[in-house]
Amino acid sequence: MISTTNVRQENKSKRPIVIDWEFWIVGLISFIIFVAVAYYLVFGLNVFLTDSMARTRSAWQVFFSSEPKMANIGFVWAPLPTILQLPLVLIPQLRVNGISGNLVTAFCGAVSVQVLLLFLRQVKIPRVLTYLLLLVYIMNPMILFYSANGMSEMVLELFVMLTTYFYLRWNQTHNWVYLSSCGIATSLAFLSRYDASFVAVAITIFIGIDAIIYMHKNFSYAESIILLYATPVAYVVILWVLLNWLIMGDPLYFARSAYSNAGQIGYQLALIPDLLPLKKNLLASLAVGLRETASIFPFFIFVTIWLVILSVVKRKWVWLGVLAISWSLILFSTSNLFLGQSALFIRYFISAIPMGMVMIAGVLSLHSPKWRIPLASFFLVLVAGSAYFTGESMLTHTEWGQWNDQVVHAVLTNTPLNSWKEEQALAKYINEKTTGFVMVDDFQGYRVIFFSGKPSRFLTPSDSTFKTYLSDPYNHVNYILTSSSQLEGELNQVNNAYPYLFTKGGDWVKLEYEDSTWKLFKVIGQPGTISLGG
Amino acid sequence: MPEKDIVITVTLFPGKIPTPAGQDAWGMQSEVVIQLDVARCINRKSAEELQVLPLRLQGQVLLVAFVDPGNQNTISSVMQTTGYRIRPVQVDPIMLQETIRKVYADSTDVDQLPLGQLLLRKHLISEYQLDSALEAQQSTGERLGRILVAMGFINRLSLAEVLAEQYQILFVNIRTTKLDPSIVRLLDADIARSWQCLPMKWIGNRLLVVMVDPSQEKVKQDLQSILKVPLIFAVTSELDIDWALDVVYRATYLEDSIAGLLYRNPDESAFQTFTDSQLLVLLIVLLVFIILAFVIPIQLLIFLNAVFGVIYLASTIYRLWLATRSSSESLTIQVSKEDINALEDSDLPIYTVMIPIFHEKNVLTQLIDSIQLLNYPKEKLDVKLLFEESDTETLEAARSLHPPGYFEFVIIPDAEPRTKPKALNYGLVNARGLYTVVYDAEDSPDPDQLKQAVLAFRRASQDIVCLQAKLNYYNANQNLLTRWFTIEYSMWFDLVLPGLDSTNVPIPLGGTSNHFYTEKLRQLGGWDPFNVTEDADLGIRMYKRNYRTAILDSTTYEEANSNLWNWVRQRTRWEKGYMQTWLVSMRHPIQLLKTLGLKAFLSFQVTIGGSPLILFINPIYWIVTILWFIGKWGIIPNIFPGIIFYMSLVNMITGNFLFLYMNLLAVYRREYYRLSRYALLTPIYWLFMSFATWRAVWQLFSQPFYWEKTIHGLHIDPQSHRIFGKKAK
Repeated sequence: MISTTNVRQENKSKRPIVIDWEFWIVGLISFIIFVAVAYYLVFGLNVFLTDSMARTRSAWQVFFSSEPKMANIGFVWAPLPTILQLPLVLIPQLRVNGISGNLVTAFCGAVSVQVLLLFLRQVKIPRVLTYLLLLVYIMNPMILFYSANGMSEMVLELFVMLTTYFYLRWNQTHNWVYLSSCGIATSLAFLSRYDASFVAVAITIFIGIDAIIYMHKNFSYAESIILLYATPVAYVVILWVLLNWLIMGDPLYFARSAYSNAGQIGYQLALIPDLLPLKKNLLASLAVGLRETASIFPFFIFVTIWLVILSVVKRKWVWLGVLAISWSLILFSTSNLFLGQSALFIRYFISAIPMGMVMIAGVLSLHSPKWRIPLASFFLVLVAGSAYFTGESMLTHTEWGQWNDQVVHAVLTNTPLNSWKEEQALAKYINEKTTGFVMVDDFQGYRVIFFSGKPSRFLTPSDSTFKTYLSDPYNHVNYILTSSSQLEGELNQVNNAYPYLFTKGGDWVKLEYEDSTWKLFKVIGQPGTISLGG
Repeated sequence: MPEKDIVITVTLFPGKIPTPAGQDAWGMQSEVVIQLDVARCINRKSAEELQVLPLRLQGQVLLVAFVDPGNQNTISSVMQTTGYRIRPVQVDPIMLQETIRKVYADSTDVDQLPLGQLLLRKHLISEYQLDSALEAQQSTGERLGRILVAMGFINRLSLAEVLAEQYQILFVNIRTTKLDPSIVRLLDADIARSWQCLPMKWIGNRLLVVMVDPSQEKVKQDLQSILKVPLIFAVTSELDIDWALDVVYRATYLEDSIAGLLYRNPDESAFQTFTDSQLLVLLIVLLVFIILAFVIPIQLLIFLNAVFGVIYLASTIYRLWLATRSSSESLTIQVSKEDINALEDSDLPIYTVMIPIFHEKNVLTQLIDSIQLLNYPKEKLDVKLLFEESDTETLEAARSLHPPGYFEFVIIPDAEPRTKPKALNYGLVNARGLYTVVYDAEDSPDPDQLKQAVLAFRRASQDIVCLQAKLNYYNANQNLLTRWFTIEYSMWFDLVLPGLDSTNVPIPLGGTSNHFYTEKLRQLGGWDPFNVTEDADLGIRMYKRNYRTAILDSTTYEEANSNLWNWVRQRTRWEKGYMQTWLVSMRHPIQLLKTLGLKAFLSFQVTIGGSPLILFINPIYWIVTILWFIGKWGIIPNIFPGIIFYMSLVNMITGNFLFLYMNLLAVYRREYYRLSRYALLTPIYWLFMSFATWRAVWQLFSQPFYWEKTIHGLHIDPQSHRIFGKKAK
């Protein structure tokens, strides 16, 4: 294009992000480290996290279930971590043991290291200090674990870090490309975990304030940049709500169905009495939120205060926006505690580590160059030391299904976990000893489906015929798999339809297989009176 | 200082004077040296009224030149006035007029006076005007006469008369003189246009040649060597040369404007919408589809779904790519405000500005103002207002506005097709500029645009023969439709076209503000008068000739269509034109692929073919989607199996978002912040676009060349400030 106006201004605003060999080498090394950890977890320690398995199984279901369709990704969890696995599960070797999920988190973890590199480059400290800071970040136990375990945390953290980076670049350059990228990164973060909704609100407020108060622009300009940022986020939210409504019949199915966090917590509250006092108690919830944050990254609050003071003194308001992003994730988890809609899992506060690193970069950049090397060295020691507290915190959190303590213990003792032996044995039995369809609610049964590796043999609630077949199993399925009603078992649709099947069996079924959790019945006749539950 | 001899060519009749003069006359041509004191024995007024001039005394007989020597009343009058016996001789009226001027000229040597002083003496200009013109001459180096005309200080005819006096030669007002086409054709029309001269008539054995600049001795010599007869030179105005050429070559110009491209390269003309082979293919495809619709309807629908899905996907990805390119590509040629200020006016070439006008008297004042605001030496502007002969109302309105002298009115002869490209072709014939730009009547270009274009042309590579300035609207906030239209234009000209430019693929030109190398444009054959988006077509034809178009970062503001039906008509024409362009270029698809190369070929398919196709099939998919959500119609899942479903899903989710978001980006970049919220409503606008495309398809078969004229000037009429019938607040 031949330009005639504002050339210099345009070029200034287009200062590109430098993507060089160092960027790629850092990413590659990080990826190799996280993949190695993933390999060790899966094949060395037999670590299969429940949510990770469920996501991988959902990805399989899209292609290999009895009724292949995109909707098999499910409508409770945010879909991106599953969608990212879709190309990987097409490769059989990556489907086995759910390593596809681990690879996705390893990739996201590696990119998060690259993004951190971009932050640290702006600080302009010696390269060796940058690499050491990256290394202590990578070596933090939670970063190592969640970058290798197939969960959704690292996917969220990556996109929140990208959101923060683009927000910062937007403020530095006022180039719309960064604002758009910021919006797209936030929308991807929302599709990774709903926690990002608070991030979107925080950025929307800050770019509006920035436009009107600090850039002295009019309301129309503020509206324009807010729309530029928020439209991608609003679009994915609306899309998700619309899909929930169209497919599940409830636009807020992801938030209020029986399978949602809020739905599940009703059952969990009874079993986890620690959560009860937090509900509707703001101060207590806040206190617990701060405690959890401090327990995995003790210096987060300290760095926050430091950054607030520097931002105000040096009138670098953009860093207040970064602080808002950092705290919005923690506040989201805290608010869920307050609303009684979530359990108290340590991973909900993992953002303290990556966002803490971002804030450290902020603190360094706001000091004069002569202070940066000693300060960076100081932070290096701080972050390295906090790894101990993170590990300690993981060990003390023993919530069911979270595995933090067990994994740390297994690593420390190099002892493989004795996990999912029953499900593996059951899956083997189904594969080798049975033929035909097995009806199961995959809310729990996903583990069996996962280990069987043959999702097309299972009839699950995501199949359009499930409810029909549930009322008439004799003519449609060969087996029914039920689980004990402990905890989540009460959310099991099969259990709800046949409440006594697990405990008493019936004359229309024959018990084929049994362990402490599962019972596999062969359907041999029509059931008697059937109560179809919700 | 002794007065010079004045010689006149007359026809002597040895016998009886023929009556009426000239008929069956046998005379002898002779040159006579005039005795000035004798000639002045009658006053100038009488000489001019009677069309006579006493030449010399031969004893007691007075030799007198008459235009009509057979008119006894005139002879008697002269006899009574002079008291001599009269011997009449015949003289050409032009020659007589000029000789009278010389005989009665001021005794001061007018040819020794500079033109400015001469004009001052005759009170044709003021001293202030002369000073202003001389100042302009200092910077432009242009001829003083042109400058004075361009500044509106003197009209062209007065200037030509004074020039004639200054150079002591004839002045001819061509428009009041009978033109003999056989004489005019003695000189090639291109040479005549280029040298600004014209053979007019025989005077004896000498040929009278009119010219604009009598100081051009080289031209005179060259004419002499070309025409190979004794020449007499006279002065006329440059617009009159164009007018005369237009009168003589009117039929040729018209034929060339209409059928030039068709004759030279019928394969590039949209005269025939479908070629025989295209019709055959179309019929075969339709027949196959009809048969398959009965035999395997589901499979046919799946196939069509797959094809459309790929087209949607390609279009979405390509738009995203173009938007990314336009945002990240460094600018290839940069022209700053300082560069423009540093330009010497004397260094600027003649620039032709062509403006087709048809039933647009509402915007004439605005048009003249916009052109006058152009920051370009007016004496170097060749502004051609192209009027349709049938549109006398607009023509009269324009005349009544008395635009400055550098505005030329070109009347396009009434003939089918009555299209803008035909008018442009007609105007192009006499374009004098090194560069030519096309504006619409309601346009308001950036005042610096012509200078920007000159600099850009100079800095651009040799293969760039066209610059497309960005277009946008000055009445964006008139109503909802104009807001949407502005948003769409911002996306097209600020994101898509720069993306195409940086990708080096064919650029479909916008309707106005296209700047060309005039000669290259002529070589290309101008515009296709049978294509209703002649601009887009020209962009493709240029690329096929290895010429390139670049985007000029300068904006012309136009009037956004504020009336929905008027908008639909305009959009129908655009979509029909795109289809025409696609059909014309795809007459030989393999050859096109070889000529353009794969990248440009694919871009052409998505940009020119894909655009109307997507708008055409959009409503079908909207209906299918609605049917599915409302009625869960069973057949619908069957026609979206597996991969086709996922592709369609991706298309629906990302495609819709991308197109909407690009609108947001475009208005942000254009700094139309107030339009951002309306960008979110553009899906409604897409409905109208699709409706227009369906009309376009119908018209493609029923009225392929019908030019649905867009009514302009609605922003001026308060009654038109309506949003779909309701008055805007």
